[in-house]
Amino acid sequence: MTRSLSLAAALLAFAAARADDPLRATIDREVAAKWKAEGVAPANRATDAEFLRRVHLDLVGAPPTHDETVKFLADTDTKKRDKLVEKLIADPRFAKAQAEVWDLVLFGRHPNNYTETHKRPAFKEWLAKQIEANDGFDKLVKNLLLAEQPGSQVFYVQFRNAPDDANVAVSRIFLGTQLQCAKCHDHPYDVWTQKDFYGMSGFYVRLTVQEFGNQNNRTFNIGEKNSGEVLFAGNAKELKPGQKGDPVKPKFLGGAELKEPPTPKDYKEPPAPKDGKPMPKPTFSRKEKLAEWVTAAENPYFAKATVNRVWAQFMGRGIVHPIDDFQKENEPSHPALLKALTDGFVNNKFDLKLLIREIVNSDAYQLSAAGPGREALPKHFERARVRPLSAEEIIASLRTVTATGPNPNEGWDYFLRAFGEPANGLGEFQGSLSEHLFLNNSEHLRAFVRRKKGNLTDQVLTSTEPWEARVERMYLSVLNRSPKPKEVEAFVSYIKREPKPDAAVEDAIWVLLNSSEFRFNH
Amino acid sequence: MLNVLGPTSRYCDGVHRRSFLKVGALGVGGLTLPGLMRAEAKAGKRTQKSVIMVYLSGGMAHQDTFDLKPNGPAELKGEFKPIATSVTGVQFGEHVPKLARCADKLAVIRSLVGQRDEHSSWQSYTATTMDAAKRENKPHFGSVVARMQGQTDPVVPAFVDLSPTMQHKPYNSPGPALLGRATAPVKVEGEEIAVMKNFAVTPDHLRDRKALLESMDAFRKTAGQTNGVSADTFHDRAFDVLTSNKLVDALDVTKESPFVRQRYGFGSSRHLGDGAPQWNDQLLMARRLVEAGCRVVTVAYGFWDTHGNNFKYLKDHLPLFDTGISALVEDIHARGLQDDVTVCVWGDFGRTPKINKDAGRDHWARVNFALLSGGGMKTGQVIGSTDSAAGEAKDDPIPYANVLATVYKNLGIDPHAMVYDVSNRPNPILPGAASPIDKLC
Repeated sequence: MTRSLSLAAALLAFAAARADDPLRATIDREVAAKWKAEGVAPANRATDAEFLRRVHLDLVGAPPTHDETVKFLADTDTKKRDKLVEKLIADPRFAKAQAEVWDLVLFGRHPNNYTETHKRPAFKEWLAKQIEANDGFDKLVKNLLLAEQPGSQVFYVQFRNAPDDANVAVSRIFLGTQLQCAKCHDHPYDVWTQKDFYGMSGFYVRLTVQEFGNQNNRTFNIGEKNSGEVLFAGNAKELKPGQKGDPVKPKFLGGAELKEPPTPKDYKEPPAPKDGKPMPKPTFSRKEKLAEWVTAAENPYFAKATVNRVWAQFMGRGIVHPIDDFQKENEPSHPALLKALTDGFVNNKFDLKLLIREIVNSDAYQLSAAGPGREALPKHFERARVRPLSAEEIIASLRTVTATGPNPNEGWDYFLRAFGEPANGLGEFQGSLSEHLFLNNSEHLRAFVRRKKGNLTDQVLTSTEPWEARVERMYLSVLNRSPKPKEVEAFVSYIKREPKPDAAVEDAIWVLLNSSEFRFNH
Repeated sequence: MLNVLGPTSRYCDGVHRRSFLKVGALGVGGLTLPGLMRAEAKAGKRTQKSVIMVYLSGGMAHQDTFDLKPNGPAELKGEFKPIATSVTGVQFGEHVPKLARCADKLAVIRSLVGQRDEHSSWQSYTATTMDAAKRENKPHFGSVVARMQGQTDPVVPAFVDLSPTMQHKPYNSPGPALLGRATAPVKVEGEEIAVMKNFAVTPDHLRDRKALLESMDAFRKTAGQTNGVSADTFHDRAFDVLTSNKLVDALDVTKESPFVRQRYGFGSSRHLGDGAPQWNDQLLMARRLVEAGCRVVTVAYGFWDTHGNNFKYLKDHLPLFDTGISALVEDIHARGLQDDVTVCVWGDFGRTPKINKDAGRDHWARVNFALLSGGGMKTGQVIGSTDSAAGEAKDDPIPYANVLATVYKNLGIDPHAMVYDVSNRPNPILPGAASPIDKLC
């Protein structure tokens, strides 16, 4: 826009631009408007190195290799960031990494019915396939809630005989709504009543988990009975022993009661088939109605909750934050942006890849993490967020940066104990003692540092370049950036002081792996 | 050699000798941290209070061990005979003779009530059910103690959980919940120990590494001054733990005389059912840990969910239990720790008076037992009683939360105090109604 345009023309042009702007432009406009309103100065644009590592970890769950780093940093193409994003979204690791993210959202580290649910490769594979196909996130969630495709069923297994828990989880994750308070009493600060809670539970109350096969080869069917109702007896505090309550009809959250044919009075549920066959489908499926309602374009919660969650995944905090607590008292920080993202998502048929592409191509995503303020998750998105790597990302990073590849002694269970939940009681990051012990001294970590043909330690030791160049290689490999002159000096003098270069190089790589720069995505 | 890993661990000595690394498991006197020296200099007579809690996963049959009903209805009373104990008028079951001999050092609660039929350690460790504890984000009592009293020694954690990970998840110990990671138990399993004892490099070398790390880790200092990164309080502690061998030594039962180890009975790290092993070495480790400065040590012990074959199973498994627990109790006394160290042994719930068709007993949460010793408590007594079927508490019903209240009191913590969570909000450590058991004071 030039100054010679009249104000009216400018406004017109501006308004016209909005309609078909790519989402990334809307993001930047809305975020910048907030900075202006709040008097906040944004950080500088992230350097290529910062961006490269960040976007790799965010999109494919692993940092770039040494060669990818060198190539990208040297590339003079002005469109290289967009191109990198395209390349990473097309990378087979993209769907797998995003599946890991969603899998953790859906199960957490300690799902109920742990024995059946804690290892779920088939589920992750199913999820990755859906993400790869990118046939609309609405369809993905619909399939998840229908639980008919092989691999998908285990989602409900964590809620076996616990329709209320299924209700709480689905409402929280896909509707952005905290219903659990309304289980025992009307919600203290939200609009939900106990009737809303039990109305939604009614959609899950008839589900039955059927288990087939044995311990090593377990499959499930999510059957659905023709009868069974949620019973509601009022405020939990006033309940009398033995009081069962009255049946409640399923009711869509904030909407109408489900219309369904009545169950005949004398209907008797047939016994579950015992011959390893799935239960017959019910004549009327509440589950189908639920799946349709949740994922409909008109559903007032679903698209909004989803874009908010995806936004937070990349930007550190939700536009509504906490991300799963949409309610009157928790207004969005950028309402117009939330609306634009929601509309954009729905109008593009819930295209998850498109949504992610627009977010990571925005200037807001591509800000530096360094800047004023101490918030790890800046409120106005004026800096990039600093986020700890997940356990999955750390192991992938260790393999990538040390060029060691998967190592049979990684000890995944131990690794998860050390890195699975690096949070204090409030969900904020806090690395555990075992995490640091792991990094400092574990056999598992040593396996990545020890010289092995072709790995980073070996590359550095085999090289005949001056130590300065070799330190540079270690930095580019592990932290995906060039070292500062002072860092080169410190490392070179350390290595030269050591009589045995083997030990010194291992030390140097150990140090880089133990740095907080490695532990976080920033 | 250090043998805390159990016979089956792949970290047993010799298996993982690193070729390139200077293996330097610290010998005695190999290194003493200034902090460690200070701590040791101060170590005169220990007055610090601590607790060893043994959790009997699965729920042990109360009427076949500590509350026999020889005159009860024939179809309920089971096969075992009562035997006299060192306390006049008190009888135990015939398969816990060693405990019977030290009954004067025990207080047996026979009328524990209020537990829910729940296969979990949560009632023992949080004084509430697993559901409620999860919903309310209730911490393990060990975390409460760690939060309120901190460490007695910079390299010895306040709270160590020796329970090996059990297959039935709720048997495993609850976490620190709203008290944050700083108060989480240090778990002692194969890998965790290996990390603490198999040194990749010598401590001096480790300090060199650390110095280099500190010189380069600008991220932690500058950009890393965000609230996320700086909350990471374990960075330095990990080094301290690695450069001192105190904790690892405490776990090394081979440092005890063969006589002592024999007295405890060795047991095995092999898990029973989906519960805990009967690994008596861990009871000895627990004693060594509290002597080293731990305030809370928890051990899951055995598997007692005897729905079938109750009597044969108990006959087979009680002797090792009897040996281990009686050894612990006697050892605590022999070492003059009876006023400082509380021993508490209990499980999920009692078992049905009725013997089922499989000669088993099912879950029975109406009444349960607990064994207590040390902690300056009045021992040599039985508290409460049950009816003739051992099915309901008769005299002096003791709500189970009162056991934790007693434990807190013995540790010098007011059970009605508040504990401050990570965001400095006060939380009652126990339900208001819980109070220490009068008869023990």
